[in-house]
Amino acid sequence: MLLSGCGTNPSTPAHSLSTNEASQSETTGEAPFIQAEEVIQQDYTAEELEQIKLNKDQTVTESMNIKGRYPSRMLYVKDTDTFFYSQYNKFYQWNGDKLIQLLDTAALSLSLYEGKLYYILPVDRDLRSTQKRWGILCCLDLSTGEITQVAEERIVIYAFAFEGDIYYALAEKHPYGEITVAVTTYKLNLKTGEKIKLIEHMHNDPFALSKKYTVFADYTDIESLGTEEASGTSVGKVEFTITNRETGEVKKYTDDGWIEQLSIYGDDLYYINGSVLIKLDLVNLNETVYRAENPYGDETTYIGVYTIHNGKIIVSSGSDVSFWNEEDNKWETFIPLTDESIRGGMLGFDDFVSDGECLYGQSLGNEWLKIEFMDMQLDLTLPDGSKPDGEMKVSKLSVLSLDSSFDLCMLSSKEEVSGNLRSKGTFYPLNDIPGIHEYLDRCFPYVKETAIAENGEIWMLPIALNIDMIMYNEASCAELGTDFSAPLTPEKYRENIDIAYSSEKTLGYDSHAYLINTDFIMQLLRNDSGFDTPDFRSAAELLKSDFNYVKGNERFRPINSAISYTLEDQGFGNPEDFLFSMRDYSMDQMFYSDGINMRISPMPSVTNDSRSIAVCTYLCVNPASKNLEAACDYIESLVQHLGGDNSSVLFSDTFAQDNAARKDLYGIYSNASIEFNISFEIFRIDYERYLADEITLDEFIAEAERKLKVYQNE
Amino acid sequence: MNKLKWNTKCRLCMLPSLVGTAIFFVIPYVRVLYYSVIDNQFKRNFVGFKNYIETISNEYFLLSLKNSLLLIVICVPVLIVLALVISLALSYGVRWVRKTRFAFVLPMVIPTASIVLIWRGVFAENTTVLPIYLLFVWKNIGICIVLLTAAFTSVDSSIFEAARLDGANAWKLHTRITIPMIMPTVVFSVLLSIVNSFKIFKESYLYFGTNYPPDHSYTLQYYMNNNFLKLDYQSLATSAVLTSILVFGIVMAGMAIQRRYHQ
Repeated sequence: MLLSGCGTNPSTPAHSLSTNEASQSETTGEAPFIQAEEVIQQDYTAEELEQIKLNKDQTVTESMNIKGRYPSRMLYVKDTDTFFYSQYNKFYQWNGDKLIQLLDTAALSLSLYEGKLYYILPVDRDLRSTQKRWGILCCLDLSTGEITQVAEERIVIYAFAFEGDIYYALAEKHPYGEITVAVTTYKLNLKTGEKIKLIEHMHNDPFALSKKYTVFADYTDIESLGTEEASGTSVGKVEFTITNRETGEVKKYTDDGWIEQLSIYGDDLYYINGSVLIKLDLVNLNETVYRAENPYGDETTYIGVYTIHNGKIIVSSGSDVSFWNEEDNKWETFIPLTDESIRGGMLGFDDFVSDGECLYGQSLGNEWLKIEFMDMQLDLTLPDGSKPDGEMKVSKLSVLSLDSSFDLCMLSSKEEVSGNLRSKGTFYPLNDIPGIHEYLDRCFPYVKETAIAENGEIWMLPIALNIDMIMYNEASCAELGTDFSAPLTPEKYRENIDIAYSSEKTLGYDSHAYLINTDFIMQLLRNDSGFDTPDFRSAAELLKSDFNYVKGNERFRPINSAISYTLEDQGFGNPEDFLFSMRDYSMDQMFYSDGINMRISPMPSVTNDSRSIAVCTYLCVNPASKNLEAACDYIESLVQHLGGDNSSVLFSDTFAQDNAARKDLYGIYSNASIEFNISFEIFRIDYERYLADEITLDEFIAEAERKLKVYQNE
Repeated sequence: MNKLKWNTKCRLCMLPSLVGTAIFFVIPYVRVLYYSVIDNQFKRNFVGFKNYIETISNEYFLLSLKNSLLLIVICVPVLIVLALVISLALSYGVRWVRKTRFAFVLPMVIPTASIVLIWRGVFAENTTVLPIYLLFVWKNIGICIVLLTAAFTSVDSSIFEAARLDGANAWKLHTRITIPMIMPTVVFSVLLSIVNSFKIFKESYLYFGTNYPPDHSYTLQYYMNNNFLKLDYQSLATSAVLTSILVFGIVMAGMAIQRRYHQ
């Protein structure tokens, strides 16, 4: 049997695999735990059972996991030419003729042993990185269709079966909510049930195993480089120790760079070094470098994930999937094996893939749809580490002109066209999408109200919600004398900033004068109340004196860093140094809500309306789309997919309120409103001239009022 | 037969241009006309002249129309008279004018952004519409001078000789011979300037740096551009149709005048 290692992820058992085995032992006996309720038996027909059975009494001899940064979602079995893969929240098997849905859930970290498929049934995920999931280790007997829970733990993050044992790594939930660091690995004998704790702290070096070889990689002379340090990587020399398990011969091979995703296929070792794929002939130690075709038209080349299929190297550069044509020495577009494309899974994004300019999503009917985006609210990172910015103007023109070449449009309520989209009826009504009414019923009332136009048509699908707010460490702030108790006034907020600035914990807070200005002005302009109001005048004077971002003030930080500095970069170790931080991203807010003594305050209110300003990201179907049916299918699939996400802040019924901070969070998200902005161009230039003392308040207000009148009436 | 063949050849030569005009002008224009009589481009309910009535009764459409017409009424005559005087001086070889003629052609080759930069420096304190008017005149005077100078120099000198022999003075020479002879070019220059006055948006936008300039500079292009950005296709289409009718009317009037002078 050929099984691959798990790359550089922290759960990877490395050298210590054999040496630490005896460190601790415990015999589990006969199923000493009650099966989790999530482990549900599936009903397969006799015909389906016949197909899913691998028709092999012996262990599958060659299989290959898709190699990726996160638990694999795809397994190819060469003996039977069978693909197993997860897509959205379903798990499928395809055998060349027919596709069968094996599970009504995703299955991760796949491995096969003696006709049984071992997988992790995901029950939770990292709030900030949806690809990171963990759950219950299960086994699907492909002969009988029986599903059993293999291990009691619910936080299994990686697992693989190998030579009669299953190795699985447990993540540990650290105090701030994240479960990504595997700290304990067990070896469980699949016949006897004997369970051995291997190691407490995982070795980070990558390794790969096969029936014939073991390859371990040792980093020597590691140098942390400035740019890579921020992303948690380092670069140095890597020494491979290659052991031929049949002959006992040991070879050494050295390479430079950052090595990940090792796997052995035949007599070749494959690994990613930086952004290229390298094949190392383990007999002669010859190296072949594969570079992806350049998808961006510049110097960038990138291979994110790879796999071997029928002896062909298949890679994904994040925007496309290609295979290496050995004869012609070039990449060729990978033709999906069936209509049921597996690209979504391979590319590593759950719901969308991106080529840097547009997003692409897959409908239930597996048609690929183009999604224009004007303002990204999702924390989407391109394979090269950059954030997609797109050609905003071009996208905007596409949307405005109802260009039929795109199917869906992702917008945010911050976009000035949002209000017009709704009021002008320039959308395809979604009322007939199955499940959308239930979806909206679960949303906070103001979200539902926003999603429905005056004539009752559902004009958009809300997919994310974000509100500016201040997260603070209650104990640290109380100790320092800062006060975030309700109602938090702008004056009190400024005083808190002054106190924090003059304290010894000056790195423990951040504040953004610009964002504060934006939030206050959005509050003031709620309901089209205009500029010439007593509230606006007094707030403008306050903003100029206390939160003037034009004139600059060292008390204000240009970047939002306090939380990450105190809670992340310092090894999750200095929460007491954290004071407060302004956060605008709901995923972050949920994530950091687990922090010690964490509490959350809404932004100070500058009007009598205490509701927070919520920014909603949503999808609209382009009525001019040539793929209307598929676009609606896609919305339906999103409704199903997002509706199953109980950690979304959109849904009032499943909003977690398991600690004080999350209760605060719920309070803020439930008391908000979505505003469709007027164009900031109306007042921004004049406002900044006012802040810079170039014009008076009266001049600013007169000019802003004039522009607003034109905007509203032209 | 030969004539027919010649006509066929002519038509064939015109075909690419006609196809281009149809694809890039006629078809889009028909589509814009269609957008102007429906409620929105998705539901497409016919609403007759409702959009036209709304647009014509919109105070900012009327303001923009007034400003656009003012620009024509004030700037085009100034531009043409100035161009005529300079062309005449050039034709007569007035030395200081000849030495500075390069300056009149300069705006034609300098990028608009650079011109606006200079303008913003010169008129930093001026909050009136004057900078835009002057910018328009300066930007367009070059082409008018070129056209009119060419027209002046193309007048047959034997006509002047004959008139002088008949006792005509300089004033009569110009009012009775030069002006009528160059009138087709003057009319063409006027039409060209009027059309260009509708294209002053780029300069104005760069000068003010906003979609909401002072009221005195809010022209039809601002109205259309802002409605485009706000996704208001119907207002955009309606105002575009009305503007095109206005331009068409002006051009027709100009051509009628031109024909009259020809006769």
